Parts: sequence; C-alpha cells; structure tokens
Amino acid sequence: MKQERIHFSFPQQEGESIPSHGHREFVRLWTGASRRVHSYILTLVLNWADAEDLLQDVGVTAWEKFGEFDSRMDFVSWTCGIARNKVLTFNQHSLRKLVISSELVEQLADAVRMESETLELQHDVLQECLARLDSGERELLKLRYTPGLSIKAVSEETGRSVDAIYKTLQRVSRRLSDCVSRRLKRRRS
Amino acid sequence: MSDLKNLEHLLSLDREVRETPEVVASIRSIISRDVEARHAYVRWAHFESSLGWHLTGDANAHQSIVRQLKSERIQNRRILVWGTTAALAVVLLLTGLITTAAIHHFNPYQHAIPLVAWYTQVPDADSQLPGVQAGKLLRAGHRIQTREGKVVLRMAQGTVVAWSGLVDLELRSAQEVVIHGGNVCFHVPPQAIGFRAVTPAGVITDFGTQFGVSVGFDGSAEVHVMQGKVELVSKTEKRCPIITGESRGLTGTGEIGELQPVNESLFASTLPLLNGIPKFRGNLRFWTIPPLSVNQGAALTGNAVGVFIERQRFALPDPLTVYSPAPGEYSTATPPTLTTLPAGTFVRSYFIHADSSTQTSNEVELTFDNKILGVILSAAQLSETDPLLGLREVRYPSEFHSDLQPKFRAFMISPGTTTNVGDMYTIHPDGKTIQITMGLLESYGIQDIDQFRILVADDP
Repeated sequence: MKQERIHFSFPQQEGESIPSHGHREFVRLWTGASRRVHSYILTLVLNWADAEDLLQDVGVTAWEKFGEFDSRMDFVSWTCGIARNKVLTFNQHSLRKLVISSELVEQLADAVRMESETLELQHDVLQECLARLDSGERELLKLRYTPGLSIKAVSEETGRSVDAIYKTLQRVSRRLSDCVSRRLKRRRS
Repeated sequence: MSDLKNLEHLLSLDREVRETPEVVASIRSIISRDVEARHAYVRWAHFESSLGWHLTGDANAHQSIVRQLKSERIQNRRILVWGTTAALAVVLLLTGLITTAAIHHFNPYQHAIPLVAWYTQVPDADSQLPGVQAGKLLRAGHRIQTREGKVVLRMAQGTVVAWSGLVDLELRSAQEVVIHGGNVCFHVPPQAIGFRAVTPAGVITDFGTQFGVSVGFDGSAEVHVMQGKVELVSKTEKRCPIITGESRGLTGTGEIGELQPVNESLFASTLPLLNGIPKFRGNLRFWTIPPLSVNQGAALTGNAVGVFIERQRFALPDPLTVYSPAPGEYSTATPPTLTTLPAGTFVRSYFIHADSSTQTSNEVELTFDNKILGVILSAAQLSETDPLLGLREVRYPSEFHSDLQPKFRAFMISPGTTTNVGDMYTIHPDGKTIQITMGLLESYGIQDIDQFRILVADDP
C-alpha cells in the first residue's frame, strides 16, 4: 500500500512559517537515531573527537534536509547516508587526518547492514552487563568516556597510579566484553 | 599471528595510542583485506560507541537525575508509610477523613515534575542562587531570578547554560528554557541539538554549539552566534538562520532586524565559563571566534586581556619543553624552571594577548577546569609553538616578515635576567589558578605586545 509522505518541508526564506510539529517530529526521530548514527560514524573514522564533531554536522544537515525525508524510509538509514557523505567530505577537506578510502566506507557500510541485528542485540545486552558491574567499576569505566576528566587527574585525586587505573580499566572492559559475548551466544542459541 | 588476533590486539590499545595514524592505518589495512576481521571491527566500534553513549554526556546528567529521583521517591515512600500508619491510628481514634487527607498530603507523586537541570557550579561566592545549593537538581517550571553573580546550569540533555548579573529565566524542560530578561549563553552538545531558548518575541532553536541571547525587559531580544548555527523564529512566524559570527535583533513585536556581526562583549563575563574557565577575576575578553591576527595592533582589546582557545584535545607529537606549572610566584628575574611534557600528552592551549596600543598594565586571574601543565613565555618558545599549537585561521607574529614583527612579543622578555617591566605571575596551590600581572612597554615609546600560552590538561 502506498503510504502518504509526511511533508516537513521547512521554508527556506525569511518570512515563511515553520510547522512546530515538524520540529517535534525531528527531535523525536533524532533522539532515537543519534546513538546509532554515532556508532556508524565511529566505525568509519575510528576517532572519538572526530565522530562527535561529525555527529553534530549530521544533525544539522538532517534538520536542514528534513523536508526531503520520506517517511517510508528508515530515519536511521537516511541519517547514516548523510553521515557517509559527511565522512567522505571530511576526508577531502581534512589535511591532517588519515583518509579512509571510499571502497572501505562501502565495505564497512555493508558489514554494518549485515550485522545490524547483532549490533542492536549487543546494545541491549551491554546495558544488562553494565548493570552487573559494581558501582565503583562503573564509575571508573565512566571516566574513560567523560569529557573534562582525565585519567591523570583521577590518579592524582585517588592517589592511585595512572598505570594501576589503566590496568583496572582494562580488566573491567575485558569482563564487560566477555559478559556481552556470553549473553549474545545465549540469546542466539 | 592471524589478522583477527592482530586486530584484537590493536583494538585493545588505549584510545590515545589506538587513534594514532599508524595504528589506524594498520587497523584499516586488516579490515580491508579480511572480511571476518571487518565484521569483528564493526561489532567492536558499535560496542565502544554504545558504551560511551551509556556512560557520558547526557547519560551522566540523566543518571544523576534518576538517582536523585529514586532517592526522593524512596524518601517519599517512607514518609507515605509513616504517614499512612499514623493516619490509620488516628482513624481508629478519630475519623477516616484525616486518613484521606494525610495520604493525599504525602502522595509520593506530588513531586513527579521532571528534573531538568543540575546547578553544577558556583564560580564565586556571590553566585549562590537564592535558596538553591550547588549540586542541586532543578525541576521543570523552576524560575530563577538573579541580580548579580555568575551561574552555570547543566541541563539533563547536556546543554550548559551560563549567565551573570540580572537574569530572569524559567526551566521549561531539559530541552527548553524561557528567558524573560537578561543575557544568557548556551553551549549545546550534539546530543542536545534542537535545544530551544524561548523569548517573548521569538524562539531560537540551536544546532550547536555556542550562542548567546540578550532579552530586554521590554521583550525585545538579540541573538548572537559564537559558533555553529541557530534558527530564529519570531512570534510573527518569520524565520531566519543565524550562523557563526552573526547576530540578529528582534523587536518586542517580533520583527527581525538586519544581519549584524556578533557582539561577544555582551557576554564577556559568561563566555569563559563555557570554555574551561569556570572562574576569573579582572578585565578579561574571551574570544570564542579568534582574531584573524595577533600581531601588533591587530587585535585590540581596550583595557582587557584577550584570551582564546587554540588546539584542544591535542596530543603532543613530540616532547615539548615548557615552563613548569609548580605553584609559586614568578617574574622575569625569578622565572620557573623548565620541564618537558612527554609526547602523547593531551593538552588544550589558551593564548593570552595584551597590546600596548590601548593599555600599559593589567592584572587578571584565571581558574581552569583542569590542571595547568605548563606555560610558554619566551619569544622563541612562542614562535616555535605557533605552528604546533596555534590555529590555522589566526596569523601569529612569527608568520610576518621580521620588520613587521613586534620588538617585544613575549610575556617575559628575557626570563632569568633583570630586564623587568613588571611582568609576573603566580600559580596557586590548586594547580589550576594563575594570576597574571602584565606590564607593557608603551612608556618607553616602543611598541609592545604581551603574549603567552597556558597549556591545560585535556582529554583525548
């Protein structure tokens, strides 16, 4: 059955009105999609800071082009398409970065598509495994990903050496990874 | 070793090492030729992203909020149990009506209004919000009116809201605030794209990353975009985008004004709070948009000392010699000792600039959010580090022909000698605060600028 296309065509010129339901719809879709878009970008660029910058660019472009979004399409796939183009453009303009070939971008995109079910499952079991860590381990792990908190600063405050903190982090990461593997296997069997 | 084993080893390295060009190239080489390794890599990258997503940014704020909410509910439940028991006893003695009233009074859901913001910082003693303690969570509907001092709020979705002085602001949700009056700045991270600042004459929707809104108490407003892009929709439903370096006025009746350059001075005392300087004293001008040139006479700041951020989250490619950040008082005659930062150290570089064309001396005190790792003071050090730590869009004195360079560029002209024009600084015992006294050479009839770099610890 042919579905109605949702028209969120935001006016481009000053003086035209903006439908507030379009904004709400975009925020709803983007909130649900941004985590998966981030994963996709990180897969392509393999650099946290670049992935965060690119995610922001993708969000802006998705908003600007939201009028072109066809509701029959999957929003995540649509924004990942934008992300793919952003990464390729980023490659061209970024002198200091390591360039990824467009062939590898395609290969990775294929792999992401093929693994999509596992990746969602993995996200779910990761939440379960995180809940199994004790609060101290979780807090320590959080440090690795929290902007504004360096391991060095934590080491100074806790009186533990940087090396000891890194080792603990590695041990916790390994446990988490093992837990995810086990649960994935169990879910599949 | 198989490709898969090799890949596992490379991916298990610390992030700083893993993101170096050599390691990235090796990983890409493996996943280009080995399909199995490619799939394993995709699973790993998504695992990393999911983990980071769960643990940081808005998640931090959400978790704190959830914890707070849970503890409040637990407390409320306890009160409920106690209240109900007491009321039942009263029922036995008196009447059932009191029971109903007591249960109603202790309803645990009476506070079920969403928690939307976190009052995280008290930059100075004058900044305490009336009736609100630092670290306190604020609910939707909370209206904040301040007369003085600086305030920083962290919204549940990650947006940082900062202001100073006379402001009347209402928290509507984690993604929306209403500004009834005053000058307020916002830093919006990627996960909070779509954040809205509502004014009496229009709504500003943010696409990141930094903007300021000034609302007059007659309902008029100005929107200034320091970085990124916002969209302004007036109450008459006129719409226009505003991008980096631009500003627009908005009349009380909703008419959008002409395009103007951004005026950062409206937010002079607030912008540092959003840029890693939670506390400062003295006449400081923070450039979120760096000047095009910092050569003599090119970036005048009046009586203020200019500051902007250069490279950040930057891993030093080689060891770097800097002046030590050890706490103490230092001057030209008694400079700090030199120290070496190892390659791979992540730094954020702040460039400090003052010009004798408009001032002869100045004193400022800056407190950073992270430890100071080192200071770059001498002209030679500055010129050497311009290409490394400087921004490509800024022209530094070292890029000009020697005839066009200032005679004295460095904060300390000849550290370790008696050539002293009053330049001195003190690093406080917290390792994060630096107090700077700058003397400029105008009185000698020689043009002078005082510049130096402060390197602060940063995250990968």
